Amino acid sequence: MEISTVQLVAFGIVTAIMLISALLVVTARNIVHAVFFLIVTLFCVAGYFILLLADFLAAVQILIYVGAVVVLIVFGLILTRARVGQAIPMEEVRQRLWAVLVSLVFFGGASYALLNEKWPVVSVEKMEVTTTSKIADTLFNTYVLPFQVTSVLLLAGLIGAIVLAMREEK
Amino acid sequence: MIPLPYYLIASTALLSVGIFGVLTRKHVIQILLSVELILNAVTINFVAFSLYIIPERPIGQVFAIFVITFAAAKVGVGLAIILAIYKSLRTANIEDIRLLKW
Repeated sequence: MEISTVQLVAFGIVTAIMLISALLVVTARNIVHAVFFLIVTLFCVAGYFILLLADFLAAVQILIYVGAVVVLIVFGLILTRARVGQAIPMEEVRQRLWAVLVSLVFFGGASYALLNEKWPVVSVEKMEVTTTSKIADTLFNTYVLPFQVTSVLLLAGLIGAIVLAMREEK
Repeated sequence: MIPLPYYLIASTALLSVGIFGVLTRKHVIQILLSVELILNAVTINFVAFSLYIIPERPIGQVFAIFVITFAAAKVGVGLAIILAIYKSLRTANIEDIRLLKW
């Protein structure tokens, strides 16, 4: 499979920005900074979707994640009166070391398994941009029952969130 | 096209970063952010497999939409739980929330 240079450069840039900002999300001392770095990471994931010829999903990613989920998290920050602008306390060094070890072992093991697997990849000529109508066709014909279940999940989440957040203080 | 393992390794790296965040962070909302990273890594894998293995039917993309819906519901309920905990315990630090800890 030949690799086009433009795609590879774009992939490299997106990957570098995504991993650096993801690391900043989990190491930032200030939670608001962490949320902003999460926005950068989510945009980079949308860039991946564009590289993977999934333009509809890239739009959904930006609309729902950056537009709704991040705003919700910022509201949560305001309501819990997190010490916005202040540093949060340091973790113990030992816990951090163990966490680095666990994630590195996971990364190593999973990469080893993924690289040694023979993936049944189809030829490049068959790959084309997935149109929205194709996604709609799959979603509303083959997966219409999971789609309905998802709407029930959203309804349950909505009711649950209201019940939990509106509970009277004793 | 970029080989498929590149995407898989990148998403594994994102997942590992998310695991590191879940294990080290002390504030509940930062743990929620790390879980978002993990879910995004999963979504990248779904979309990559969708393009490289069955490009004629976008099943992976449909599942990615389900994952995004799930993430939205999760953030809503998660924040409601955090608010309820904050109301009764006046803290959002995971170390101080140990009502169920023996």
